[in-house]
Amino acid sequence: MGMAGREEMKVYRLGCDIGGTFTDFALIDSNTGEIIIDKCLTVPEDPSEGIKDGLHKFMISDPDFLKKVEYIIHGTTLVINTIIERKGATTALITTKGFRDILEIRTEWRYDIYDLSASFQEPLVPRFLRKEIDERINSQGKVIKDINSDDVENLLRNLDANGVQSIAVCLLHSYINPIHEEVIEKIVKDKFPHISISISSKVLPEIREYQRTSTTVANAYVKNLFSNYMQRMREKIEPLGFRKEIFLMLSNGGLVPATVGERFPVRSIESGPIGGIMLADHLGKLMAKDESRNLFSFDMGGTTAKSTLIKDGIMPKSRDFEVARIDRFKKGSGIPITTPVIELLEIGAGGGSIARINEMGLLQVGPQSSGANPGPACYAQGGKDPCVTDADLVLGFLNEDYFLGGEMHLDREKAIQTIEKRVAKPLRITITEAAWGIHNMVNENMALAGKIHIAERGGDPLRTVLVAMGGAGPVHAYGLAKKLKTHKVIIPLRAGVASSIGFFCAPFSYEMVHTYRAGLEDLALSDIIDAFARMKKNAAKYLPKRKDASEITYDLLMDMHYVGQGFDISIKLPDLDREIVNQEYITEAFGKNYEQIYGRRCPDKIEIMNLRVIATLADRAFFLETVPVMKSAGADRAIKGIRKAYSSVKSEYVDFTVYDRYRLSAGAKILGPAIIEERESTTVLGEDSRAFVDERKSIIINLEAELQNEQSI
Amino acid sequence: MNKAFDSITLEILWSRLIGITNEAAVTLMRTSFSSIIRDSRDFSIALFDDQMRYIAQAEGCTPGQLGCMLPIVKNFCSKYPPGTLEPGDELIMNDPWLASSHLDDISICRPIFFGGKIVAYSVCTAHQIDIGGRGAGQEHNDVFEEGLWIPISKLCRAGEENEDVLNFIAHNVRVPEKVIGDIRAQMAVNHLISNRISELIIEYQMEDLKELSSEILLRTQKSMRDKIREIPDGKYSYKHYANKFKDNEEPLQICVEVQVNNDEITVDYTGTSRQTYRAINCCPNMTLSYTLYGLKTVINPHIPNNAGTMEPISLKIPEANLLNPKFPAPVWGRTSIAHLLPEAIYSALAPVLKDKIIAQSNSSPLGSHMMRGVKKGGERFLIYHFILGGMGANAIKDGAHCLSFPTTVGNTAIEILESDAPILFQSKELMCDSGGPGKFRGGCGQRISFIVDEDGVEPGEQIITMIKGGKTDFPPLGVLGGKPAPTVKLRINNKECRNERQHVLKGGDFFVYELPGGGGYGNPLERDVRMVLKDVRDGILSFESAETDYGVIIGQNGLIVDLEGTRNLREKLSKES
Repeated sequence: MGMAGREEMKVYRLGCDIGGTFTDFALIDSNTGEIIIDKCLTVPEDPSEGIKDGLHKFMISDPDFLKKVEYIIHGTTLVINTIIERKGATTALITTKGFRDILEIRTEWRYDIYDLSASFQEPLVPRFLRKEIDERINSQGKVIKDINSDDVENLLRNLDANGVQSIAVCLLHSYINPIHEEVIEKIVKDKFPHISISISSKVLPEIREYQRTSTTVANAYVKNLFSNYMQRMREKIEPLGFRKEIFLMLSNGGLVPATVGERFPVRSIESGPIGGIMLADHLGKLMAKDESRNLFSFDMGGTTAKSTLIKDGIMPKSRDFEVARIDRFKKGSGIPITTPVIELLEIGAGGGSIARINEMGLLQVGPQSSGANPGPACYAQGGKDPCVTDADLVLGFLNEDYFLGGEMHLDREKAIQTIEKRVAKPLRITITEAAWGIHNMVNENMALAGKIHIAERGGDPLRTVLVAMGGAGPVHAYGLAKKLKTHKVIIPLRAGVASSIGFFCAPFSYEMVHTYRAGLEDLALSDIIDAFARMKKNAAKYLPKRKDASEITYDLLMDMHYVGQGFDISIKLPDLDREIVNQEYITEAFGKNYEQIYGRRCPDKIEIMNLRVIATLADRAFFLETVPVMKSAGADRAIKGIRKAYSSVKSEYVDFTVYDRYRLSAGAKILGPAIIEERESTTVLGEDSRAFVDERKSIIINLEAELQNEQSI
Repeated sequence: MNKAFDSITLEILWSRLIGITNEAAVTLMRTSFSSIIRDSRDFSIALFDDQMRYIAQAEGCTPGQLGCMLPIVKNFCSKYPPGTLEPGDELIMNDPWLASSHLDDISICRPIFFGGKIVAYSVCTAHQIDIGGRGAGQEHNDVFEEGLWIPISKLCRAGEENEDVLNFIAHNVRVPEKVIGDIRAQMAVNHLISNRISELIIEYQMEDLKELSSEILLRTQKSMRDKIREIPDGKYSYKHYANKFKDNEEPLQICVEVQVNNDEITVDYTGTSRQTYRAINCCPNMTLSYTLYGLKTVINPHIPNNAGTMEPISLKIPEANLLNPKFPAPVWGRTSIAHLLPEAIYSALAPVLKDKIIAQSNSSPLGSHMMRGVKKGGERFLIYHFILGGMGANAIKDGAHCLSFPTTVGNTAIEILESDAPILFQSKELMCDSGGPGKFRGGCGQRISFIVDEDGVEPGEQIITMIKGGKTDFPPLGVLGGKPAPTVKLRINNKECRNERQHVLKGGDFFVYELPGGGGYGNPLERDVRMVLKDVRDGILSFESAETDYGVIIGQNGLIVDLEGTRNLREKLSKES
């Protein structure tokens, strides 16, 4: 085929991120890298509706565009929001007789040693829906007491009659012998097909019943909602002409076919926010060598704020993930979900976070959110609660006529009324004080949680660059940076839909685990080689087909520990087809790795726990367009006007210069107080900051001026 | 750097010090060979300045060990003064009077050198799963029966392990691979802290930590004094009782008087019982530990802990006392006494700090279970794990179910215990009606039961077990009208027995331990009816208790409340009381 014909035929990839409030779209031209974005309100009752709306908007300019889309990459915060907001299915738990309270007894460890009233999240399954079945398997996997199918059926009938929609099953020692869990699964599928089922031996086949139960329960809690939603999404977009694959972003930063991801929604618990982190990471990798390599990726949407410290250019990965930490965001206060994740901190702080006066007569902002419907009062959709967005509007940070580029009008009067009624009057303060109180309080919440997160990872906010994204991120970045004491803030172009763009930075990746417990000295190498070969073949099935199979890379890993230890470290093996690996090699590789992490080796014997294969296929290289930086680029031509907005420095309304972000050229310099408007978000700069626009059209805010002043006092 | 720290830098460096100890804590758990560290977190890590002052601690470590660390570096250096130390040295001891109050806790200390001088010390104390001797139990007659005593020794000389010391230990414990593995993990943690401190000093161009630590201690002390000043001056006292060991003996008593004087507090334990023949004597370090802990939790819970916290506080303890025993008193189960101190302090301060305190708990004293013997085939096994009762309620919330208090240790997974020992658990579940009634209910406790796996034990070999935890003779009391929770029960093969001592088991034996919850807070008749209904629906409160204790009449389906009947009953009950 000639080049000319090819140029005619556009090829796109579509990134789509469903948040609690907004659904974001990014369409990238696979040949030119050009990005087109859009954003529309999430429809909470049926999020797939929001996707349809968005696609329709693209179709206005090109009715055939969906036919040119190679595939859709999808991410969503639905899973985590469902848990945080407790909106999941009516879920039951079935356990071994005598152990239904494992979920509520937890680890018995008090996460804050000095806090006498430390409390925990209520379990996702209340006690009256936690049922027991008389069966038993021992630690060697031997059946001690058979499971009785009639018992199971009776129990299921009872749960069904009680309106249970989803069932989690976690029986003792099922990680070693899943037979009883599989019996229950089969009966549910055969006789109660309308109830969805999650069994722990498939969700998380690992020892330690509490973590396994908690993870399985979370999976069950969100499963119906998630698969219904994916189903509806397909039903809606197929008639529009899309017949290709949808890929799902997993919490570990890899992409898998949605049909695979759907079975274990708990693995996509962070799938939406991961996109933002991938983009922040991408920006970090482009930064000059002498700049800080520590980024605080901060993505504030309508419902929650998601942050991660990318230290020395490395995204933190972990398997100990916790959802919905409470009180002071202490580690241990949330619901544990053991699944591979890029670690991130998520708190209930977004544009839709509701402000209220609590039992102690104090102002509290979040974690409850008004979501997309009714949304903040200023959306004029019937919302009565004052939200962060209402405060941002009253403070002059948002433009009532240019929200989503003017597509959505914000009702300033409604925002004022509700803030007056629900916050100002009860606290006997002015409306301005109340609005500022809300804005400042949500910043304070985010800063407190952020500081803990950064400190936990050995970071230093002073030497960290804040990358602000999400619809509300750029509005709050300046205030947050001041509280965190970071000097520098980056607001990437199209920050309002950063996650959906970040999806393009992710590789296709599928991880397979095979439990293989053996002492290293008893290891049969040929077994291992066979097992790895099988796993490679299986894992490749979950990646998109490419002509050249050699594009797929495989990481072969072995999880190992010294005999007696309870945690593994993963050792990477070379390509077994090319290199010969023996006991000495593995011993040395393990020892070296162990020493690197923990500073020493042990004389003890080594045991293998799992074999692991990660098959990866890089997506097309992603790049952000750059433009030449003009030394003399003036910002004046981008000025839209002057607007009164609240100055935290002067504690009163002052004149802010308002800029049109699209008319700012690379190299333009801006002095605060200023407001920079973009369709999907608004950047606020106080008078103690200045900014310039770099070659990727990112706004770089500098707060050092303010710090120097403070030090000289 | 010769300038006072601005508040931003101070805040960052302070969190970094805490962050370093936290990182060390995670490392210790990940590299440990025993479940007692890895899962239960029975260890502590702290950092000291060159003056041997305690400046930072890992979050979530056990308060008992942490408090014992206050004088620990000075004690280590009484044998090896700083001048005799060189880079790469590690010191070890488990002296109950100088360190963590029983032999099972081994403390390892490393001087941290920078620029040729000592700039800090790091100490890691960890509960070993075994230390020889008779093991867990309270029948020991003196400390010699309690296992191996490790005097202050150099475990490492300039980075070289002292093989003799390790050999002595390995030959005196039942599971040497675990104990030696954990000791090495402790050393590695000290090494890690040492590296991190050097990195920090370089990064911030400091010469040492002197100014930083002085600032930290000063600010902590000031904050503590400010908070103490808010408490009305006066003397507040309470008498608390410990579990009995035999049915017909006089109970041991703890007498506490908290004397508040402007910005200082003296805690006087005069009147407390003399030291006892049982292995529950509490060495002064441990007494100090839980006294400070009790006070901090109600006076200034949210500031980081360090030596500054104790500056305004002093203790008076008579000699040869339960809280200040003379060598060689037996001390293994000292938490049976120490864990009652915070409660005694809360009860004493109840009149002036009623919003801060909590009701008494069955999670104190700490519950633990030990079992050892021989598996079929001859391999020795030993498990030691924790089980916790419920906590007392407080002024704003129900008490937590099954939660470690006042210490902070966790349980070990049933699946891990069953992998390590021939034991088959039959239940681990919340106990109905085990939380003391109140406007806020005490947390519920738990019932655990197990069968010794007949197929898993070596015929003819003895299995020794010990279980303790919670209150056996004096129930955990409620406060401000809240009612008590029930007491603990142990049944072996359906026969009631006393806990806190060793029992011999054989294959097939059935063991049940009921460890209830905490006391209630406030009048149960004022409890929100919906909360009562929820507790009944969840099966943690019986219909009978809902009626007699809370005056709430619930329909037999458990779903609705008879509001009219409830109003009348509550009126009637409130007149009767």
